[in-house]
Amino acid sequence: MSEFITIQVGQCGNQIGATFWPSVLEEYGFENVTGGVATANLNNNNKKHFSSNELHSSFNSFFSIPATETCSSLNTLSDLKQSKVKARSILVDMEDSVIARYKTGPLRDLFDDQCIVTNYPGSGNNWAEGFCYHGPRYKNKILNSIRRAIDKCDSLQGFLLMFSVGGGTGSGLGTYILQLLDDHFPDVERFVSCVYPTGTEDVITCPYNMALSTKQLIEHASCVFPVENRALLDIVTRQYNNNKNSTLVPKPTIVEYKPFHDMNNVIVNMLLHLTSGSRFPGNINVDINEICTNMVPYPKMHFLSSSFSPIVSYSTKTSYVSSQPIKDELFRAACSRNNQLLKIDPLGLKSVLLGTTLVGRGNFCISDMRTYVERLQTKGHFTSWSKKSVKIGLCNIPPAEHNAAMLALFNTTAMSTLFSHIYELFEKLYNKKAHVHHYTQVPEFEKNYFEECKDNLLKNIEAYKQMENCKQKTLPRAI
Amino acid sequence: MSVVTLQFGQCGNQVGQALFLDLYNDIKGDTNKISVGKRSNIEYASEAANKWFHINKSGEWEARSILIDTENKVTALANKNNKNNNNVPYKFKNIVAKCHGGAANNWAYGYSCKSQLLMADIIEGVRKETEKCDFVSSIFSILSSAGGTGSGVGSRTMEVLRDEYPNKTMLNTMVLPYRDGEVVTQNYNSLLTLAKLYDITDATYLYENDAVHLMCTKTLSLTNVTFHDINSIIAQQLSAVLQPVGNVSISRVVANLAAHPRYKFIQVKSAPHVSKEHSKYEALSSWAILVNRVRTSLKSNCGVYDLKSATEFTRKLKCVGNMLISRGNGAPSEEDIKPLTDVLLYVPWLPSQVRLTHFHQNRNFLDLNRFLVLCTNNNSVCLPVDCVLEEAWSLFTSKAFLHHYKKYDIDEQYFHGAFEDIEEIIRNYNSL
Repeated sequence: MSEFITIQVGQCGNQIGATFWPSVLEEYGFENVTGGVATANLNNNNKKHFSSNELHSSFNSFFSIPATETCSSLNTLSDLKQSKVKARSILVDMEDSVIARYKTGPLRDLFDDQCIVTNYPGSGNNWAEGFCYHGPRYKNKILNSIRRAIDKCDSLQGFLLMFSVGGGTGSGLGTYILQLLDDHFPDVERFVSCVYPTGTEDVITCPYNMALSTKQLIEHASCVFPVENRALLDIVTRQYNNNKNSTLVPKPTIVEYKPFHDMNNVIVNMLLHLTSGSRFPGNINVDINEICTNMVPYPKMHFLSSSFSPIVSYSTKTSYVSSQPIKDELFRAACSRNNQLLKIDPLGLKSVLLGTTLVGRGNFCISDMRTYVERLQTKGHFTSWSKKSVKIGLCNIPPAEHNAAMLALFNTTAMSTLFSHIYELFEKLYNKKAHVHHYTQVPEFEKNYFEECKDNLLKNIEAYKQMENCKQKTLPRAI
Repeated sequence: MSVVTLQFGQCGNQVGQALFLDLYNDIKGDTNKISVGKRSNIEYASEAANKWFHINKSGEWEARSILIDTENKVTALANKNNKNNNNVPYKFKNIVAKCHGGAANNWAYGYSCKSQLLMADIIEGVRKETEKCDFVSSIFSILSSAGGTGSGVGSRTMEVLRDEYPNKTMLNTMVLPYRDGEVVTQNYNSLLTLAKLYDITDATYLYENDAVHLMCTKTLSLTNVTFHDINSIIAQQLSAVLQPVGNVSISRVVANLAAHPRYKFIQVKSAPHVSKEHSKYEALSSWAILVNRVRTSLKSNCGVYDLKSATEFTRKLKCVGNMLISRGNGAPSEEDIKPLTDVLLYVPWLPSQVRLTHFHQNRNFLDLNRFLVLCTNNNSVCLPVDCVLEEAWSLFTSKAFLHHYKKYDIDEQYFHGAFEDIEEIIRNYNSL
């Protein structure tokens, strides 16, 4: 079964990781491991699968199990500890506080000490410090950790990187690691789920960090699944308001409103859906490397807008019965702009779709998917060649709390709005050369980085614009 | 006489598993329902069993088939009966599946890269299977042209096997993807597979997901079609064609259908197809009715296409050759099969005696009283092939997705070659 190595960098990356691992375990049918209220009854659905061959052989994807152990004996967290099961994960941070929580938390035994790289006192919200200073210094240590993790793999499919591009460590060191991977393991796909802290820019140098890391992402990643904080915040708030208004669910108190936790949870669910095709069997498997082939029509156009439904935030769990209307609703919701993890409307007027992937989990059948493809093709806007650029997938195993779910990925020209947004913020600061000295004083930081990065952003925006305006070429078929 | 089967990729393996289930069920048919005497039943069953299965020393049945995939999720289920998780009564012993990640829906990746990892094992597997047979008449492959494994690894393997076994008949079953899109690069992959395999194989059974899907909704009146349904139909038709009929080697005859090197596509039509609930109330149809149904279904897959090009084709439908197999008690009379001997159906240069070959097997098929299957080689294949070409060309002129192929040395020149080959095929069929 295909395997993934996750690399969590910086505070944000590690916090996402902190919600990621419990959710993974939950999907595999382990009882609630976060120490909260037991949700065993909700997991029954998947527990049933877990005893079956399918789920437990896919357990390998995220965890390495010593050869002497068999998966079937693993039922609780302490079983995992006893049989020395380790998460295929590398934790990197330049300060200690977030990772320290891993070391004391309930999942502490899942992480290999050799795969944790920390330092003190952080990267000072400075991309240059992460990329140019910490990067080269920790290169060997990080490479060793990665090699160690690779040695435990039989069939490595890809690296999953998680970080935010706002701060210093995540953006700087994160993109440095990305570059390392590209240099040393060019054949393994690199998937990046990165958080753009738009709407919650709490760091003054954030535009620089975003722009500088975006350049690296354009150059070195195989696929990027960007996430905007303002979109996540909207999703989470809407969820929260819905619940407040509904009479069925007891009104949550303010204590239960944990926006960052819920926001991370949205990202985590997206990642779980994304890898589901590689991990679980289905009638149309979607291996994750297929996503690259299907969604990236031209090099450097690998930023994908993702969305899924149902989105139910962590603090409110409800179980659905998936009848036909509910399945249709799932499709509609997955394509709606409200559910995008970016502020983008994939079916809107300004968006020209270059590629779409729809993955149905649970009891979707091929007839359903055909209907959805048809609907998508009537609703969306396409270039002359991309109308048929739809990839469909079916995965038999539904996510932990539901009977069905749908993941939608879009490669749309509306992605240029994200780049324009970054560019604007960047220009605003750079015109005044504000805070530039923080970057230039880092010895290895080259002055032309800023200019290069500006050019790069503009080039990319231009490329998307060209796609939008591209006229149909009527070349006759060569005989 | 035995057939060695190769199942490639997810689609190939799923269809293959359905095929062997049908073959087995047919061989083990209900002895109360078979329409022939005990002795001829045993004759039929042992011939069919020998054709598809190897019975080892301890009496277990092993399918003469090699399962090839780049990941093991599908092949792992091969020896399970999907529905109730019971083991199937026979074994797939020869599984070549290395999971280093799939072929990424990329023909070039499968053809140049993944196939190298698997080739030694595949050749070894084929050798082992052939050694178990007294006489191998043909090599039979099943693959879909949409993904990367079936199309890419399949193309490369058949190429190598052609060199290794130059005298065997090579039959290929190719499933074309839904036209509205299953995989974004499906038309590139289909184009390259068609171009590669057309020359290598003796004949290609062409299936379209769209057409079979239409069959499921129209004749079986299913609302929620699953791949299981689609695969079952393909499996039923293929086994009806390939199960023994008397002393003829069917694969040889099929190859004769595609005697002219320009025309090698074969489509399979069959009747009756009735939904399970309806079959209880269905009266036994006479051969004449079934022949008529098959005759009309010659045009039926045109329903998938827009009206203009479809009507144009039904008007000038021309066959290069047809083979009819009837299975069930009592052979159809000359009069019954008359609709298929119509002179206007065939190209004028075809001598009358080779237009329609008819075979009859008295033993019934899969416990059905009567089953009729027609292999036809006609110009309606232009429709699906032309669609593939059109879509692929539209992508190609925009240079979209080409960088994925270039990474594995399949450059624009190579694509141009493939385009030319397929244009040639379409031109030939169109000129009928």
